[in-house]
Amino acid sequence: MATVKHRSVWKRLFSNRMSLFGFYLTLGIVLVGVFAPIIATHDPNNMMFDSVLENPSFEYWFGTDSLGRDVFSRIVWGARTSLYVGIVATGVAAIIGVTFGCLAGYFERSFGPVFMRLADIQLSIPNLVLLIVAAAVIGNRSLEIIALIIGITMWPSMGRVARSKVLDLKTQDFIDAARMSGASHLRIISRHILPNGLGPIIVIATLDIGAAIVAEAGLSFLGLGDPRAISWGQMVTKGIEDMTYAPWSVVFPGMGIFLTVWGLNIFGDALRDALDVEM
Amino acid sequence: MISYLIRRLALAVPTFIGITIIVFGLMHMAPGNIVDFYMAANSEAIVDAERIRQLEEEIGVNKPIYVQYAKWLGRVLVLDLGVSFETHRAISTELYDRLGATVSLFFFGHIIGWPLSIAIGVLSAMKPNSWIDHLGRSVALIGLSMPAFWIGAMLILVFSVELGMFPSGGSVSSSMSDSSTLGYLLDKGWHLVLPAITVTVRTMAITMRVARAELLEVLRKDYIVTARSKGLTETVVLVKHALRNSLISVITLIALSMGSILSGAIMTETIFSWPGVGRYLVHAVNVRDYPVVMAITLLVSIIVIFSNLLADICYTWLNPRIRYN
Repeated sequence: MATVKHRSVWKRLFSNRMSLFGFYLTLGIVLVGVFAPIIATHDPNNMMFDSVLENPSFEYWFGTDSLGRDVFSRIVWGARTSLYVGIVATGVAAIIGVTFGCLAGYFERSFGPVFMRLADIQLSIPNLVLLIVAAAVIGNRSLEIIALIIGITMWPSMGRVARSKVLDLKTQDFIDAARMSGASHLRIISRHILPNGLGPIIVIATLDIGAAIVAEAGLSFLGLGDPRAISWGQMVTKGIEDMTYAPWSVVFPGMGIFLTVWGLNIFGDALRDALDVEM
Repeated sequence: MISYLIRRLALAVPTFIGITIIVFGLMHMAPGNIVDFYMAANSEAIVDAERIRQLEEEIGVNKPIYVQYAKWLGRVLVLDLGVSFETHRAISTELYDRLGATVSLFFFGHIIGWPLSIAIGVLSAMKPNSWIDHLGRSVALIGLSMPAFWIGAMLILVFSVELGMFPSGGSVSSSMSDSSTLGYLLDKGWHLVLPAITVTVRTMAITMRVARAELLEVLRKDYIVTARSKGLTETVVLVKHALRNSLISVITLIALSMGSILSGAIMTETIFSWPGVGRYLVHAVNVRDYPVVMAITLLVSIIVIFSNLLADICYTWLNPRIRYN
């Protein structure tokens, strides 16, 4: 029975041309990020002062920026930065959100209200405002720290989904059966509830990776990112200064952000439909 | 209803207190205080340790953190937001000067964006899998995938740099100070177009998707089948039965998404040099003007809390079947 259901999810997921497109687009960007050293045509940090702001050409596919760096190579390496931050931030959000959400749903009376208040408080401060303030306070902004604070700002949505799923699963017969057979709370949550509630969490995580990538790009755009990292957001900021005579320096990095997030959004939507998740 | 309202308001109190703790705590962790700020601003001034100690005593930064927090909260509760490190003016005055710009951007962006996106969502839901449905959904997903600052940059590139149709930033031309009222207003409107589009794209995408999903959901309900089988015309079923009920969720969602709308405004104001509160926040963060950062964070959080409250009230008011016990 389980395998039949399993197969039909995959069939539903890949029977749609749009979701296939989203999947291959995301896969493509991941491959670009993984094989960045091979794909990049130039050293992304090498400043070639004799070829500043050059037009896109056979030598420099997407042109060069105001410091004479190859825009194509920087975009390829930027994919790595974006995906890294996106995945780490989503991981942080998932660990905090799922833990809190499970506890809040499982211990509905004791932990539930505390969790809801905490989530309310954090959801009342707009994410970007919280990110800006946190990034400003933390002087040392490495990519890991940026990913960590993005993850911390994103946990409430993940937590709420996990909580409602646990509340829903908790009342089902097989949980009662597990409890009567003497399973501990930890075992019930980790072995019975979590595996059955993974669907919505995977969907949210897919969409959250995109949101985290946009958040990192936004922070970098405002000058609050990791100054040493090659970031698409930072490239857009730099590119805007030279936009009138070198539009490629702002168009292509933005395309990088857009294509990555678009792919993830299409795929996340398709996953949601295939898993039949209500959010 | 009244008791529900009171309970709902009471719940907002711990949320507010929690926010003040987070904001105050974050700002307390920030490196440097007002004394450092003054010293950085007047680097030539010779300040000895005695004078620094004296200054710290005056401002109260050497007191325990809970005393400082209580003092600050006490002032905030009587709407005294303090004084800007940078300009030495009252923060409420600084904010008042900039609120108008943010509100006009918000208003003009959404007054067209919301009805338009709801209309597209309704059309999509009425004819699922038609070309308009596919087009609407694809465009919405594309809009949702572009960061606001890049949308703004692309609009500037196309309509300002290449076509020269709209100004690339600011809220009014410098040559406009001595022109007529009508000319001034037209100039303002002209400056508003690109930022207004930028600020509304994401919201439109979200609104359209929710409007479509909600209407599709409602159209599957039993009472729609009943209404149809009674022999009501399709228009009556759609407008009086389906639309009214699906709009409840759409309005709630609009109010609930206030936080992300405000986030979009920060990016939009930054890229268009729009003299609003969002750009002021980014500026205050960069010059480490902490009282201003605290004030703006509190202000936007209160707006979010109130719009959430409003969403709940709208929900009850539009749908009398909901009973809160």
